[in-house]
Amino acid sequence: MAMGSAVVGMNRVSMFHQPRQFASQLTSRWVALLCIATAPAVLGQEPERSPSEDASPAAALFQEHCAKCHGKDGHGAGQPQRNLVDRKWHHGAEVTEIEATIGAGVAETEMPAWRDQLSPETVTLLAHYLLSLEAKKHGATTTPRGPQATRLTNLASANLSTATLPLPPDRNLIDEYIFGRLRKENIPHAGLCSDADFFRRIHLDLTGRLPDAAEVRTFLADQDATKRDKLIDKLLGIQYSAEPVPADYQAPWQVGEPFVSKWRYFFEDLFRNYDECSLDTSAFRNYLVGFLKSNIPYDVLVRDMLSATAVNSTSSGAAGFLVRQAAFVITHEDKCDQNNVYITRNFLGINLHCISCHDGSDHLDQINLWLSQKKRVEFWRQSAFLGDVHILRPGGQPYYVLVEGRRKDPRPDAPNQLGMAGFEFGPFTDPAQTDYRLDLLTYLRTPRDPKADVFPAFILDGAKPRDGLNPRHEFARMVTESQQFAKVAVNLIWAQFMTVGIVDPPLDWDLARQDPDHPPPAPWELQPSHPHLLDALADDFRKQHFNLRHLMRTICRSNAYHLSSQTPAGYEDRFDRLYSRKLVRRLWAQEIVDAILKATTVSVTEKDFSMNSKGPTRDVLVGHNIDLSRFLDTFGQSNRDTKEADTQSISLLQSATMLNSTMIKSKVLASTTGSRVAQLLTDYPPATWWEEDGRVARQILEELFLTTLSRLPTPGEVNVLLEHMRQHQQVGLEDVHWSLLNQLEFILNR
Amino acid sequence: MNPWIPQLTRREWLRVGGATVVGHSLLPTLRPHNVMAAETVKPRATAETCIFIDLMGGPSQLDTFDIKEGAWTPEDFDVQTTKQGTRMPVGLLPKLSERIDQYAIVRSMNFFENAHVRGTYYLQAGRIQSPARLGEIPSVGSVVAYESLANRKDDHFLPPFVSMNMDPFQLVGSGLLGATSSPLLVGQTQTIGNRLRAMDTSLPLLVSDAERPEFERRRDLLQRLRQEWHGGGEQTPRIFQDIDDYYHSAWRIMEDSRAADVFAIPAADHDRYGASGVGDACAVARNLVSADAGTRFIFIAQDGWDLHGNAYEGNDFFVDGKLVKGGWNQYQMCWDLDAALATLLDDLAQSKDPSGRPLLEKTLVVVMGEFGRLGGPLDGLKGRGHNEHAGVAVLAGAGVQGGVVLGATDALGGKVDTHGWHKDRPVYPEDILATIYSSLGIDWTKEILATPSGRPFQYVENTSPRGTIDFGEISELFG
Repeated sequence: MAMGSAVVGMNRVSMFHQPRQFASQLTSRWVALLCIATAPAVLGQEPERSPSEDASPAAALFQEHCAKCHGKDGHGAGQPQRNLVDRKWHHGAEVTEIEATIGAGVAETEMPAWRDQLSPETVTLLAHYLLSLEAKKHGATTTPRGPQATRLTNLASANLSTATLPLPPDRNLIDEYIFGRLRKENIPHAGLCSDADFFRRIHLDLTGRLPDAAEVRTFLADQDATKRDKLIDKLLGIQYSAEPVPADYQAPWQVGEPFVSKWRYFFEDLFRNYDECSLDTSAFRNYLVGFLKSNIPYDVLVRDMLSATAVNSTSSGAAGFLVRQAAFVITHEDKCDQNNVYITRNFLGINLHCISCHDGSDHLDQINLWLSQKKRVEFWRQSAFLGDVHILRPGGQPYYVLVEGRRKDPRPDAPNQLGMAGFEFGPFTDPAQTDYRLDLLTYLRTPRDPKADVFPAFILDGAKPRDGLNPRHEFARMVTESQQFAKVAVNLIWAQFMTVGIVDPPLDWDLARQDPDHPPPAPWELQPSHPHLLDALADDFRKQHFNLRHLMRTICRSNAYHLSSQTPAGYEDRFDRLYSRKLVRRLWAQEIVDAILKATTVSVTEKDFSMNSKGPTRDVLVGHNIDLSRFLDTFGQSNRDTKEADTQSISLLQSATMLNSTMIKSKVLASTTGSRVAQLLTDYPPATWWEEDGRVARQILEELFLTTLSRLPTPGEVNVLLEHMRQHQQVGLEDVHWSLLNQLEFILNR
Repeated sequence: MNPWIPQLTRREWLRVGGATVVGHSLLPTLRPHNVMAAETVKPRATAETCIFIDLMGGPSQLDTFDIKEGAWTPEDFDVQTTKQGTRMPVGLLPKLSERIDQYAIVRSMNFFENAHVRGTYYLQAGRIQSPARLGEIPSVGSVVAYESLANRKDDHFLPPFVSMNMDPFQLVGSGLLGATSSPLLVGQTQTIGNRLRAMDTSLPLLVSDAERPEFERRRDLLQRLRQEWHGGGEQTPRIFQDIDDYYHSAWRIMEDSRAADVFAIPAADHDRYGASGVGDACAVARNLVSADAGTRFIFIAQDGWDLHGNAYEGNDFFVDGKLVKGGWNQYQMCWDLDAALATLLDDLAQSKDPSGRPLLEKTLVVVMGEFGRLGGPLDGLKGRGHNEHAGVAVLAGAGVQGGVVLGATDALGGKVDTHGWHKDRPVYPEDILATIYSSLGIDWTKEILATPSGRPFQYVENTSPRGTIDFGEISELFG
């Protein structure tokens, strides 16, 4: 629903704007004053100013990070345990002790560990500022002398937002390239994300599911320095080891279901496993589950799929790929072409659609440099690798037959023989005689060129199948042995974790714009943002036998993946491609559904398919559950046919759906059996909420925050929500859970 | 980055696109911004809104608006000569036969497709389905929506493009024009079983009076809560603000009680419009037009015209697992359309805008399917097969002269033999498309040069599957 910008602007609730404006003024003032600040000013020595008017960098830092809970003047905002100027240093009064407390946070309280978000220098400045606050309140002075004073002066005169927050150390090859470029070009970057952010992020990225509240608590309290690595390995089904290459994997039957479920769904979308005209989809689905559980090398999977035969595709999962891509296509040559297009797109990252009908020249000259030099006949030659493959559907059956054969009568004008009777079958190894022909009219297409040479040849390098070997098997080998295959795979997986591909869109490559040593002619530019990283990742992927879990683990272990999503000062849009912060991604449609179910504990249907191993598959949805189906469409689910999953767009209808759809509203009701709100009301009756200064009500809020947003509430949030609960009791609790599902962060992974 | 294609950031796009906020992509993406026109045509600009009724499945022209009488014609088709001299099947289209002077009929239609999926695509997109361009080609409704963005007013609280009863998987979306021009989907797919069901007009955007206290209480809570979120002030990733903007836009519609009225169908209207899915959709279309709240293209699907067998006798079908015997046939499809379309034309003719002008004068109504059927007697299955060589289109309103009949088919009704218009060739879907654009004041020779594929997007493409054809407006329809 469109409307003019003026409308939106006028209609915005003005009070919502204020905090942002405040933050903005604060930041610019702080930066402007940095250069003239001196150490005494940092320490708040000017007696005529109250702390909240102090314009020093340290004061600004305090206002930005601490004042929310501790009050603008450090008096604790009404909560004695948060008072910083009462001379009760519960965790130590020395500068080093205060620094340690700020850095590590305080367990069992809302004081977070700031070490991941603030540089050590910033923490030092804050610690001194706290002492100065207390001293001022009690009429003392704490002017530091000697080297310490000099250090503080230096700190205060630096631009804390960027320069003094160092990049985290390089952990693996990813950081060498990503951070290397950030360092070289001096790009503003974010710090490391907090443990809570990381916990939610890694769960959503690896498993597509929200973690349990208890798991969040345990993780935050865990003091183990390797806890993040251990979690990554656990979610991936790897026995933890500190080594860059995992030593041992869990047995297939032990691999966590959420991980398999998420990536099975991803590959089903990619390979378009759809129940076209009641075609069976379960064999291909189960095959992909097996691939993920057993950690089969990716090249083995692809070779298997490209070489598959099946007398019945319901019993051969591997055949699912070729069978699916040929659905709804009638002519043999068109089936070869269609499969060629999808194989090349998924595994070599190149879109051959255009040159399937015409040469690239005069069409793609300004679109794709490499494809503009490719000819239609080269497309045909690659299709010819599949020339002996026949994909036929016995009338009305939910399966296909996929066999290799040749027409018994090779004459161009031979009568069209339906079914298998017109073919002979056997080991056909003479590539010059594949049954891919150019002298036939094809369905809804132009006549082909009977004079062209269409012996099978690989489009990347013209390689021909070796004598005596099955051309299709040779094609599968050429595809999977090429460096391009490994690069496309790592880039595709990379894009799922880092939001943007090194080549982006991840399946739209221009091969003439990849090599930094041979850059394309102006005005073309290199296509990848980090070409050397792409090669290094691909080399590593090949060296580790196309091990998908190793690849994901390498990405998740890099410090680049652990950066915060906050935009540092001086940030520009173009830095998105440089990964100087973690790019936020919107959850996939099915992930949002799963997150709602997890947060509310109410399943979508009586069959509860979203929470079990099948996941919300489209073929179950259509016509069965209109609410869920509409919900998934609104958030861009793929139809596995003509429409790819849209994981990027945000829209007004999405917001309206979160606000007001049955999917959301019914699940926060106390009257809905099994809802989280119903459980909380049973466990904590409203009569008990306000005992002991609202201890129970706070506990409820904490529970809801942890299960819905995987974090603890801020004091401000607690105040707003407690007031609402006090006023509206049970209905208020329903509102509270609804409002958490509508917090902006709920549908995002940041 | 492709240096040949000018890059726009998302922010710039939002400005270029009239700063509208239906939706957008999270990443900087290419958007069209150099729309070019040959400037050789003068759009008619007689309509503010177009209502397009898609007779999905391909209706039989010779059993509707191009009646052919033969040994096969049942007596109860009751073919009569109307006051205009046009023969009409009064037994099938009683109300529309009476109103023959309110609409024009094109009987010289030709199509390029004879398969449903491709044909339905063709009608929506106005061109052949190219696998290479599926992602970027927008539907006609999205182009109209895109063109309307610049003229949207503050009180336009409804989306420019509304699509009713369409199967989402057959729907052509906004392609390269982005979410700002995408359709609002209302209703449910018109399977045969759904035909009899009242249209489901529930939308998350609508808040009933009963829900309003809860809606307001929750909205206020959410706004207070969001102020407390310590997202990091200035460093909060921008997407948070973007999504919040959409929330405010959604609230804007939800707060407007007129929105719920537009999508409400009073029981009396439900009956007047024929108590069918297409009838309900036409009632909502009337509401959308009379609300004058920014909706410019209304797409309505009436599925079920694909009568391959027992076209006259009727086919059984299921509703909620219950068998309905013989109810699906040419009669029922026609009766549904008859009540819906006749009532829509009546209501639009009788309702007036604040300046006293009948709404029908500024609303173009177009009714057609993706192709016609084979002529002559029914085939062995007692139905009719697909036929791209004949078919009908019905147009009304916005200056279209009622009673006009263009072209004619042969005696059996399966092949065009008189064209009946100045280009002296069959009328193609592209010609209807040019007429729609012209009527809406859109230059149909425009093209968008910067597309994701790099291939220009022409509003009306002149390279058809049968070579280059000079498509254009059917001026004979207008007085």
